Amino acid sequence: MTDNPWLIMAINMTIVFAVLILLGVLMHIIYLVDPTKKKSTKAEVAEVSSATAPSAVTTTNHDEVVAAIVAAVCAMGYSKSQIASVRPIVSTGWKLDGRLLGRNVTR
Amino acid sequence: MDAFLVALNSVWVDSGFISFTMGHGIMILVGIILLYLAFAKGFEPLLLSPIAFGCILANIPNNGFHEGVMNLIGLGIKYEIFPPLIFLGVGAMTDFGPLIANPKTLLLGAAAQIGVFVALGGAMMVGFTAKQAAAIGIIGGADGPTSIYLASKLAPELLGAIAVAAYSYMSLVPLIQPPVMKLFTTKKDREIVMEQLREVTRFEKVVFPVVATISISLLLPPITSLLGMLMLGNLFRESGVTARLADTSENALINTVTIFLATGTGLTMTADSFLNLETIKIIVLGLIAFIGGTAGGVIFGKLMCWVDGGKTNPLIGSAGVSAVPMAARVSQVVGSQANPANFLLMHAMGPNVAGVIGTAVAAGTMLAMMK
Repeated sequence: MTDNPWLIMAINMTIVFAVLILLGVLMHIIYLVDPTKKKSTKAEVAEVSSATAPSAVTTTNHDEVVAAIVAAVCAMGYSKSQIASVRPIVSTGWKLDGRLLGRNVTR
Repeated sequence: MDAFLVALNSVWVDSGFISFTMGHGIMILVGIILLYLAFAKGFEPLLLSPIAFGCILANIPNNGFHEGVMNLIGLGIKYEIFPPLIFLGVGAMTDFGPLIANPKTLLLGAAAQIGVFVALGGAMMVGFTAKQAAAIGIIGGADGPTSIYLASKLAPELLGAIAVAAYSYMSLVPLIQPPVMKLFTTKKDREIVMEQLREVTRFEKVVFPVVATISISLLLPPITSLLGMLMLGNLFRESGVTARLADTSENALINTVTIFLATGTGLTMTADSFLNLETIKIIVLGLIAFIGGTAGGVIFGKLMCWVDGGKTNPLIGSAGVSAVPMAARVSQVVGSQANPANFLLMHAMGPNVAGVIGTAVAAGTMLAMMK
Protein backbone atom coordinates (compact mmCIF):
# COMPACT_ATOMS: atom_id res chain seq x y z
CA MET A 1 0.00 0.00 0.00
CA THR A 2 1.27 3.49 -0.85
CA ASP A 3 1.57 6.28 1.70
CA ASN A 4 1.58 9.02 -0.91
CA PRO A 5 -1.56 11.10 -0.21
CA TRP A 6 -1.74 12.42 -3.78
CA LEU A 7 -1.65 8.92 -5.23
CA ILE A 8 -4.30 7.68 -2.79
CA MET A 9 -6.51 10.66 -3.68
CA ALA A 10 -6.07 10.11 -7.42
CA ILE A 11 -6.78 6.36 -7.25
CA ASN A 12 -9.84 6.79 -5.06
CA MET A 13 -11.32 9.62 -7.10
CA THR A 14 -10.83 7.66 -10.32
CA ILE A 15 -12.58 4.60 -8.88
CA VAL A 16 -15.50 6.65 -7.52
CA PHE A 17 -16.05 8.32 -10.90
CA ALA A 18 -15.63 5.01 -12.77
CA VAL A 19 -18.13 3.15 -10.56
CA LEU A 20 -20.74 5.90 -10.79
CA ILE A 21 -20.31 6.17 -14.56
CA LEU A 22 -20.77 2.38 -14.73
CA LEU A 23 -23.98 2.79 -12.75
CA GLY A 24 -25.13 5.42 -15.26
CA VAL A 25 -24.47 2.97 -18.11
CA LEU A 26 -26.43 0.26 -16.27
CA MET A 27 -29.33 2.69 -15.78
CA HIS A 28 -29.35 3.40 -19.51
CA ILE A 29 -29.33 -0.33 -20.33
CA ILE A 30 -32.22 -0.92 -17.91
CA TYR A 31 -34.12 1.91 -19.63
CA LEU A 32 -33.47 0.38 -23.06
CA VAL A 33 -34.59 -3.13 -22.10
CA ASP A 34 -37.59 -1.98 -20.06
CA PRO A 35 -40.54 -4.03 -21.45
CA THR A 36 -43.11 -1.81 -19.71
CA LYS A 37 -41.89 1.38 -21.37
CA LYS A 38 -44.11 1.18 -24.50
CA LYS A 39 -47.10 -0.17 -22.66
CA SER A 40 -47.07 2.72 -20.22
CA THR A 41 -46.89 5.19 -23.13
CA LYS A 42 -49.92 3.54 -24.77
CA ALA A 43 -51.79 3.49 -21.51
CA GLU A 44 -51.05 7.17 -21.01
CA VAL A 45 -52.36 8.03 -24.50
CA ALA A 46 -55.52 6.01 -23.85
CA GLU A 47 -55.95 7.71 -20.50
CA VAL A 48 -55.54 11.18 -21.98
CA SER A 49 -57.96 10.45 -24.83
CA SER A 50 -60.56 9.08 -22.45
CA ALA A 51 -60.02 12.03 -20.15
CA THR A 52 -60.70 14.54 -22.89
CA ALA A 53 -63.81 12.74 -24.18
CA PRO A 54 -66.48 13.89 -21.69
CA SER A 55 -66.26 17.55 -22.59
CA ALA A 56 -69.59 18.24 -20.90
CA VAL A 57 -67.99 17.54 -17.53
CA THR A 58 -64.96 19.81 -18.03
CA THR A 59 -67.09 22.78 -18.98
CA THR A 60 -68.57 22.83 -15.50
CA ASN A 61 -65.21 23.55 -13.79
CA HIS A 62 -64.70 26.78 -11.89
CA ASP A 63 -61.61 28.65 -13.10
CA GLU A 64 -60.48 29.56 -9.57
CA VAL A 65 -60.64 25.92 -8.42
CA VAL A 66 -58.68 24.77 -11.50
CA ALA A 67 -56.08 27.51 -10.93
CA ALA A 68 -55.67 26.50 -7.28
CA ILE A 69 -55.27 22.81 -8.19
CA VAL A 70 -52.76 23.59 -10.96
CA ALA A 71 -50.76 25.81 -8.58
CA ALA A 72 -50.69 23.04 -5.96
CA VAL A 73 -49.53 20.47 -8.53
CA CYS A 74 -46.87 22.89 -9.82
CA ALA A 75 -45.69 23.45 -6.25
CA MET A 76 -44.99 19.71 -6.04
CA GLY A 77 -42.50 20.08 -8.90
CA TYR A 78 -44.58 19.31 -12.01
CA SER A 79 -44.69 21.71 -14.95
CA LYS A 80 -47.88 23.10 -16.49
CA SER A 81 -47.18 21.17 -19.68
CA GLN A 82 -47.58 17.90 -17.79
CA ILE A 83 -51.09 18.62 -16.60
CA ALA A 84 -53.45 17.35 -19.31
CA SER A 85 -56.70 18.30 -17.63
CA VAL A 86 -58.31 18.99 -14.30
CA ARG A 87 -61.82 17.63 -13.94
CA PRO A 88 -64.05 16.15 -11.23
CA ILE A 89 -64.11 12.36 -11.02
CA VAL A 90 -67.21 10.94 -12.69
CA SER A 91 -68.61 8.45 -10.23
CA THR A 92 -69.89 5.15 -11.54
CA GLY A 93 -71.47 4.29 -8.23
CA TRP A 94 -74.93 5.62 -9.18
CA LYS A 95 -76.66 3.81 -6.31
CA LEU A 96 -74.40 5.48 -3.76
CA ASP A 97 -74.82 8.82 -5.53
CA GLY A 98 -78.58 8.46 -5.33
CA ARG A 99 -78.48 7.67 -1.62
CA LEU A 100 -76.15 10.59 -0.90
CA LEU A 101 -78.29 12.93 -2.98
CA GLY A 102 -81.37 11.78 -1.08
CA ARG A 103 -79.63 12.28 2.23
CA ASN A 104 -78.53 15.80 1.28
CA VAL A 105 -82.03 16.72 0.15
CA THR A 106 -83.58 15.58 3.45
CA ARG A 107 -81.15 17.80 5.35
CA MET B 1 -24.67 5.97 64.55
CA ASP B 2 -21.41 4.36 63.43
CA ALA B 3 -23.29 2.10 61.06
CA PHE B 4 -25.07 5.13 59.63
CA LEU B 5 -21.76 6.98 59.08
CA VAL B 6 -20.19 3.90 57.46
CA ALA B 7 -23.15 3.60 55.08
CA LEU B 8 -22.98 7.31 54.32
CA ASN B 9 -19.25 7.05 53.65
CA SER B 10 -19.72 4.09 51.33
CA VAL B 11 -22.36 6.02 49.35
CA TRP B 12 -19.92 8.93 49.06
CA VAL B 13 -17.03 6.68 48.01
CA ASP B 14 -19.18 5.01 45.34
CA SER B 15 -20.56 8.32 44.07
CA GLY B 16 -19.40 10.04 40.91
CA PHE B 17 -18.23 13.11 42.81
CA ILE B 18 -15.11 11.31 44.08
CA SER B 19 -13.81 10.73 40.54
CA PHE B 20 -15.26 13.85 38.93
CA THR B 21 -12.65 15.86 37.03
CA MET B 22 -12.51 19.14 35.16
CA GLY B 23 -12.60 17.14 31.90
CA HIS B 24 -15.91 15.54 32.86
CA GLY B 25 -17.29 18.99 33.66
CA ILE B 26 -16.21 20.38 30.29
CA MET B 27 -17.74 17.46 28.40
CA ILE B 28 -21.02 17.71 30.33
CA LEU B 29 -21.05 21.40 29.39
CA VAL B 30 -20.45 20.42 25.73
CA GLY B 31 -23.41 18.04 26.00
CA ILE B 32 -25.62 20.79 27.41
CA ILE B 33 -24.57 23.19 24.61
CA LEU B 34 -25.40 20.52 22.00
CA LEU B 35 -28.79 19.99 23.66
CA TYR B 36 -29.39 23.74 23.48
CA LEU B 37 -28.50 23.75 19.75
CA ALA B 38 -30.84 20.81 19.16
CA PHE B 39 -33.86 22.10 21.05
CA ALA B 40 -33.57 25.89 20.92
CA LYS B 41 -31.93 26.31 17.50
CA GLY B 42 -33.45 23.24 15.83
CA PHE B 43 -30.16 21.83 14.48
CA GLU B 44 -31.25 18.29 13.54
CA PRO B 45 -32.73 17.59 16.99
CA LEU B 46 -33.49 13.96 16.12
CA LEU B 47 -29.75 13.29 15.84
CA LEU B 48 -28.17 15.89 18.05
CA SER B 49 -30.31 15.41 21.16
CA PRO B 50 -29.44 11.70 21.71
CA ILE B 51 -25.78 12.46 20.91
CA ALA B 52 -25.76 15.30 23.44
CA PHE B 53 -27.47 13.27 26.14
CA GLY B 54 -25.16 10.32 25.47
CA CYS B 55 -22.22 12.70 25.95
CA ILE B 56 -23.58 13.81 29.33
CA LEU B 57 -24.15 10.20 30.42
CA ALA B 58 -20.69 9.11 29.27
CA ASN B 59 -19.05 11.69 31.52
CA ILE B 60 -20.71 10.63 34.74
CA PRO B 61 -17.89 8.81 36.57
CA ASN B 62 -18.48 5.23 37.81
CA ASN B 63 -21.51 4.90 35.53
CA GLY B 64 -21.12 1.14 35.09
CA PHE B 65 -21.59 1.31 31.31
CA HIS B 66 -19.21 -1.60 30.78
CA GLU B 67 -22.24 -3.88 31.17
CA GLY B 68 -25.96 -3.80 30.45
CA VAL B 69 -27.78 -2.00 27.67
CA MET B 70 -25.21 0.80 27.37
CA ASN B 71 -22.52 -1.78 26.72
CA LEU B 72 -24.73 -3.41 24.08
CA ILE B 73 -25.27 -0.05 22.37
CA GLY B 74 -21.50 0.43 22.27
CA LEU B 75 -21.09 -3.04 20.77
CA GLY B 76 -23.67 -2.20 18.11
CA ILE B 77 -21.36 0.56 16.92
CA LYS B 78 -18.13 -1.37 17.44
CA TYR B 79 -19.35 -4.38 15.48
CA GLU B 80 -20.92 -2.26 12.69
CA ILE B 81 -24.49 -3.42 13.38
CA PHE B 82 -26.23 -0.05 13.37
CA PRO B 83 -24.89 1.64 10.19
CA PRO B 84 -26.27 -1.01 7.78
CA LEU B 85 -29.64 -0.92 9.60
CA ILE B 86 -29.74 2.86 9.21
CA PHE B 87 -29.02 2.37 5.51
CA LEU B 88 -32.00 -0.02 5.29
CA GLY B 89 -34.25 2.77 6.53
CA VAL B 90 -32.61 5.39 4.30
CA GLY B 91 -33.18 3.11 1.29
CA ALA B 92 -36.85 2.69 2.22
CA MET B 93 -37.27 6.46 2.53
CA THR B 94 -35.43 7.43 -0.66
CA ASP B 95 -36.88 7.72 -4.13
CA PHE B 96 -34.21 6.77 -6.68
CA GLY B 97 -36.51 8.02 -9.47
CA PRO B 98 -34.84 11.45 -9.93
CA LEU B 99 -31.44 9.76 -10.23
CA ILE B 100 -32.68 7.13 -12.71
CA ALA B 101 -34.48 9.82 -14.72
CA ASN B 102 -31.33 11.95 -14.98
CA PRO B 103 -28.26 9.63 -14.67
CA LYS B 104 -25.80 12.43 -15.44
CA THR B 105 -26.38 13.67 -11.87
CA LEU B 106 -24.31 10.65 -10.81
CA LEU B 107 -21.30 12.73 -11.83
CA LEU B 108 -22.29 15.44 -9.35
CA GLY B 109 -22.43 12.82 -6.61
CA ALA B 110 -18.93 11.70 -7.61
CA ALA B 111 -17.58 15.26 -7.81
CA ALA B 112 -18.82 16.06 -4.31
CA GLN B 113 -16.55 13.29 -2.99
CA ILE B 114 -13.59 15.59 -3.77
CA GLY B 115 -13.92 16.91 -0.21
CA VAL B 116 -13.31 13.41 1.14
CA PHE B 117 -9.99 13.15 -0.63
CA VAL B 118 -8.92 16.72 0.10
CA ALA B 119 -9.40 16.03 3.81
CA LEU B 120 -7.64 12.68 3.45
CA GLY B 121 -4.59 14.39 1.97
CA GLY B 122 -4.74 17.15 4.58
CA ALA B 123 -4.98 14.65 7.44
CA MET B 124 -1.92 12.77 6.21
CA MET B 125 -0.02 16.04 5.95
CA VAL B 126 -0.78 16.98 9.59
CA GLY B 127 0.51 13.66 10.88
CA PHE B 128 -2.34 11.15 10.84
CA THR B 129 -1.66 7.69 9.44
CA ALA B 130 -3.19 6.72 6.08
CA LYS B 131 -5.89 4.64 7.81
CA GLN B 132 -6.77 7.45 10.23
CA ALA B 133 -6.75 9.98 7.37
CA ALA B 134 -9.16 7.84 5.34
CA ALA B 135 -11.55 7.61 8.28
CA ILE B 136 -11.34 11.38 8.85
CA GLY B 137 -11.77 12.20 5.16
CA ILE B 138 -15.07 10.35 4.88
CA ILE B 139 -16.63 13.04 7.13
CA GLY B 140 -16.71 15.09 3.91
CA GLY B 141 -19.28 12.66 2.56
CA ALA B 142 -21.70 14.01 5.22
CA ASP B 143 -22.80 10.46 5.80
CA GLY B 144 -22.84 9.57 9.50
CA PRO B 145 -23.38 5.80 9.22
CA THR B 146 -20.60 5.42 6.62
CA SER B 147 -18.24 7.55 8.74
CA ILE B 148 -18.89 5.32 11.76
CA TYR B 149 -18.58 2.19 9.64
CA LEU B 150 -15.21 3.20 8.21
CA ALA B 151 -13.83 4.61 11.48
CA SER B 152 -14.70 1.42 13.37
CA LYS B 153 -12.79 -0.59 10.78
CA LEU B 154 -9.79 1.67 10.10
CA ALA B 155 -9.34 3.92 13.14
CA PRO B 156 -11.48 2.80 16.13
CA GLU B 157 -9.41 5.04 18.43
CA LEU B 158 -10.85 8.10 16.60
CA LEU B 159 -14.43 6.83 16.39
CA GLY B 160 -15.89 9.30 18.90
CA ALA B 161 -14.40 12.43 17.37
CA ILE B 162 -15.18 11.32 13.80
CA ALA B 163 -18.78 10.40 14.61
CA VAL B 164 -19.39 13.66 16.43
CA ALA B 165 -17.79 15.73 13.65
CA ALA B 166 -19.79 13.88 10.96
CA TYR B 167 -23.14 14.24 12.71
CA SER B 168 -22.44 17.82 13.80
CA TYR B 169 -21.68 18.90 10.24
CA MET B 170 -24.71 17.00 8.95
CA SER B 171 -26.86 18.96 11.35
CA LEU B 172 -25.17 22.20 10.27
CA VAL B 173 -25.78 21.62 6.53
CA PRO B 174 -28.23 24.57 6.30
CA LEU B 175 -25.59 26.88 7.79
CA ILE B 176 -22.39 25.67 6.10
CA GLN B 177 -23.53 25.06 2.53
CA PRO B 178 -25.35 28.25 1.39
CA PRO B 179 -22.31 30.61 1.61
CA VAL B 180 -20.17 28.11 -0.33
CA MET B 181 -22.92 27.64 -2.93
CA LYS B 182 -23.28 31.39 -3.39
CA LEU B 183 -19.51 31.89 -3.58
CA PHE B 184 -19.18 29.63 -6.62
CA THR B 185 -22.33 30.67 -8.52
CA THR B 186 -23.71 33.86 -10.01
CA LYS B 187 -27.30 34.97 -9.44
CA LYS B 188 -27.98 34.07 -13.08
CA ASP B 189 -26.76 30.49 -12.41
CA ARG B 190 -28.98 30.18 -9.38
CA GLU B 191 -32.04 31.39 -11.28
CA ILE B 192 -31.88 28.58 -13.87
CA VAL B 193 -35.15 26.63 -14.01
CA MET B 194 -34.55 23.00 -14.86
CA GLU B 195 -36.71 20.92 -17.20
CA GLN B 196 -39.17 18.45 -15.77
CA LEU B 197 -37.76 14.94 -15.27
CA ARG B 198 -39.10 12.04 -17.31
CA GLU B 199 -41.33 9.49 -15.65
CA VAL B 200 -39.50 6.42 -14.34
CA THR B 201 -41.27 3.08 -14.66
CA ARG B 202 -41.71 0.59 -11.83
CA PHE B 203 -39.57 -1.87 -13.79
CA GLU B 204 -36.62 0.54 -13.72
CA LYS B 205 -37.08 1.27 -10.02
CA VAL B 206 -37.14 -2.44 -9.13
CA VAL B 207 -34.35 -3.61 -11.42
CA PHE B 208 -31.91 -0.79 -10.60
CA PRO B 209 -31.31 -1.67 -6.90
CA VAL B 210 -30.74 -5.33 -7.78
CA VAL B 211 -28.33 -4.63 -10.63
CA ALA B 212 -26.50 -1.88 -8.69
CA THR B 213 -26.06 -4.13 -5.63
CA ILE B 214 -24.66 -7.03 -7.64
CA SER B 215 -22.30 -4.93 -9.78
CA ILE B 216 -20.92 -2.65 -7.03
CA SER B 217 -20.67 -5.40 -4.41
CA LEU B 218 -18.73 -7.63 -6.77
CA LEU B 219 -16.33 -4.76 -7.39
CA LEU B 220 -16.07 -3.58 -3.75
CA PRO B 221 -17.11 -6.45 -1.43
CA PRO B 222 -16.27 -4.59 1.84
CA ILE B 223 -19.30 -2.31 1.41
CA THR B 224 -21.77 -5.05 0.54
CA SER B 225 -23.53 -4.77 3.91
CA LEU B 226 -23.98 -0.99 3.62
CA LEU B 227 -24.97 -0.90 -0.04
CA GLY B 228 -26.98 -4.10 0.14
CA MET B 229 -29.13 -2.82 3.00
CA LEU B 230 -29.64 0.53 1.23
CA MET B 231 -30.86 -1.24 -1.88
CA LEU B 232 -32.95 -3.78 0.07
CA GLY B 233 -34.76 -0.93 1.81
CA ASN B 234 -35.38 0.68 -1.57
CA LEU B 235 -36.69 -2.61 -2.98
CA PHE B 236 -39.18 -2.82 -0.08
CA ARG B 237 -40.37 0.63 -1.13
CA GLU B 238 -40.56 0.08 -4.86
CA SER B 239 -41.68 -3.53 -5.16
CA GLY B 240 -45.26 -2.57 -4.37
CA VAL B 241 -45.89 -5.81 -2.49
CA THR B 242 -43.86 -5.26 0.70
CA ALA B 243 -45.53 -2.14 2.05
CA ARG B 244 -45.41 -3.41 5.65
CA LEU B 245 -41.67 -4.04 5.49
CA ALA B 246 -41.08 -0.65 3.88
CA ASP B 247 -43.20 1.01 6.55
CA THR B 248 -41.27 -0.68 9.37
CA SER B 249 -37.89 0.11 7.77
CA GLU B 250 -38.60 3.78 7.19
CA ASN B 251 -40.35 4.45 10.50
CA ALA B 252 -40.09 2.13 13.50
CA LEU B 253 -36.78 0.48 12.66
CA ILE B 254 -34.82 3.57 11.59
CA ASN B 255 -36.14 5.54 14.56
CA THR B 256 -35.13 2.79 16.99
CA VAL B 257 -31.68 2.36 15.45
CA THR B 258 -31.18 6.14 15.31
CA ILE B 259 -31.77 6.33 19.06
CA PHE B 260 -29.18 3.60 19.65
CA LEU B 261 -26.65 4.88 17.12
CA ALA B 262 -26.85 8.52 18.14
CA THR B 263 -26.83 7.74 21.87
CA GLY B 264 -23.94 5.35 21.31
CA THR B 265 -22.08 8.08 19.41
CA GLY B 266 -22.55 10.37 22.40
CA LEU B 267 -21.30 7.64 24.71
CA THR B 268 -17.98 7.64 22.86
CA MET B 269 -17.45 11.31 23.85
CA THR B 270 -15.65 10.62 27.11
CA ALA B 271 -13.35 13.33 28.44
CA ASP B 272 -10.18 11.23 28.18
CA SER B 273 -10.76 10.27 24.52
CA PHE B 274 -12.25 13.56 23.35
CA LEU B 275 -10.37 16.41 25.02
CA ASN B 276 -7.15 16.39 23.04
CA LEU B 277 -5.51 18.15 20.13
CA GLU B 278 -6.38 15.36 17.68
CA THR B 279 -10.11 16.00 18.17
CA ILE B 280 -9.65 19.67 17.27
CA LYS B 281 -7.67 18.65 14.17
CA ILE B 282 -10.41 16.19 13.17
CA ILE B 283 -13.14 18.80 13.58
CA VAL B 284 -11.19 21.33 11.47
CA LEU B 285 -10.38 18.71 8.81
CA GLY B 286 -14.02 17.60 8.79
CA LEU B 287 -15.11 21.17 8.10
CA ILE B 288 -12.56 21.45 5.27
CA ALA B 289 -13.84 18.16 3.85
CA PHE B 290 -17.42 19.34 4.02
CA ILE B 291 -16.72 22.71 2.39
CA GLY B 292 -14.54 20.99 -0.23
CA GLY B 293 -17.29 18.50 -1.06
CA THR B 294 -19.90 21.24 -1.41
CA ALA B 295 -17.57 23.34 -3.58
CA GLY B 296 -16.62 20.30 -5.71
CA GLY B 297 -20.27 19.51 -6.42
CA VAL B 298 -21.20 23.11 -7.25
CA ILE B 299 -18.14 23.63 -9.49
CA PHE B 300 -18.89 20.40 -11.36
CA GLY B 301 -22.52 21.55 -11.62
CA LYS B 302 -21.27 24.75 -13.24
CA LEU B 303 -19.20 22.74 -15.67
CA MET B 304 -22.25 20.61 -16.49
CA CYS B 305 -24.32 23.77 -16.96
CA TRP B 306 -21.73 25.11 -19.40
CA VAL B 307 -21.60 21.81 -21.34
CA ASP B 308 -25.39 21.35 -21.67
CA GLY B 309 -26.00 24.96 -22.62
CA GLY B 310 -27.48 26.22 -19.36
CA LYS B 311 -29.95 23.40 -18.64
CA THR B 312 -28.45 22.40 -15.27
CA ASN B 313 -28.71 24.62 -12.22
CA PRO B 314 -25.28 24.33 -10.53
CA LEU B 315 -26.93 24.52 -7.09
CA ILE B 316 -28.00 20.88 -7.32
CA GLY B 317 -24.29 19.91 -7.27
CA SER B 318 -24.02 20.75 -3.57
CA ALA B 319 -26.55 17.99 -2.80
CA GLY B 320 -23.90 15.48 -3.88
CA VAL B 321 -22.48 15.50 -0.34
CA SER B 322 -25.19 12.94 0.45
CA ALA B 323 -26.78 14.22 3.69
CA VAL B 324 -30.22 12.93 2.62
CA PRO B 325 -32.46 14.87 2.26
CA MET B 326 -31.07 17.95 4.06
CA ALA B 327 -28.58 18.83 1.29
CA ALA B 328 -31.31 18.59 -1.38
CA ARG B 329 -33.53 20.85 0.71
CA VAL B 330 -30.72 23.42 0.93
CA SER B 331 -30.42 23.40 -2.90
CA GLN B 332 -34.18 24.02 -3.09
CA VAL B 333 -34.06 26.87 -0.55
CA VAL B 334 -31.09 28.68 -2.13
CA GLY B 335 -32.57 28.20 -5.62
CA SER B 336 -35.98 29.54 -4.63
CA GLN B 337 -34.32 32.56 -2.95
CA ALA B 338 -32.84 33.50 -6.34
CA ASN B 339 -35.98 32.65 -8.29
CA PRO B 340 -39.24 31.94 -6.42
CA ALA B 341 -40.48 29.89 -9.40
CA ASN B 342 -37.54 27.52 -9.06
CA PHE B 343 -38.29 23.99 -7.82
CA LEU B 344 -34.97 22.19 -7.52
CA LEU B 345 -35.86 19.66 -4.83
CA MET B 346 -36.53 16.68 -7.11
CA HIS B 347 -33.55 17.56 -9.34
CA ALA B 348 -31.28 17.80 -6.28
CA MET B 349 -32.42 14.37 -5.05
CA GLY B 350 -30.51 12.84 -7.99
CA PRO B 351 -27.03 13.98 -6.86
CA ASN B 352 -28.12 13.49 -3.25
CA VAL B 353 -28.76 9.78 -3.79
CA ALA B 354 -25.66 9.55 -6.00
CA GLY B 355 -23.72 11.07 -3.09
CA VAL B 356 -24.87 8.30 -0.74
CA ILE B 357 -23.71 5.68 -3.22
CA GLY B 358 -20.53 7.69 -3.97
CA THR B 359 -19.58 7.97 -0.29
CA ALA B 360 -20.14 4.23 0.17
CA VAL B 361 -17.98 3.55 -2.90
CA ALA B 362 -15.25 5.89 -1.58
CA ALA B 363 -15.37 4.06 1.78
CA GLY B 364 -15.19 0.69 0.03
CA THR B 365 -12.25 1.79 -2.09
CA MET B 366 -10.35 3.00 0.95
CA LEU B 367 -11.15 -0.21 2.83
CA ALA B 368 -9.93 -2.27 -0.11
CA MET B 369 -6.72 -0.23 -0.31
CA MET B 370 -5.88 0.01 3.37
CA LYS B 371 -7.32 -2.94 5.29
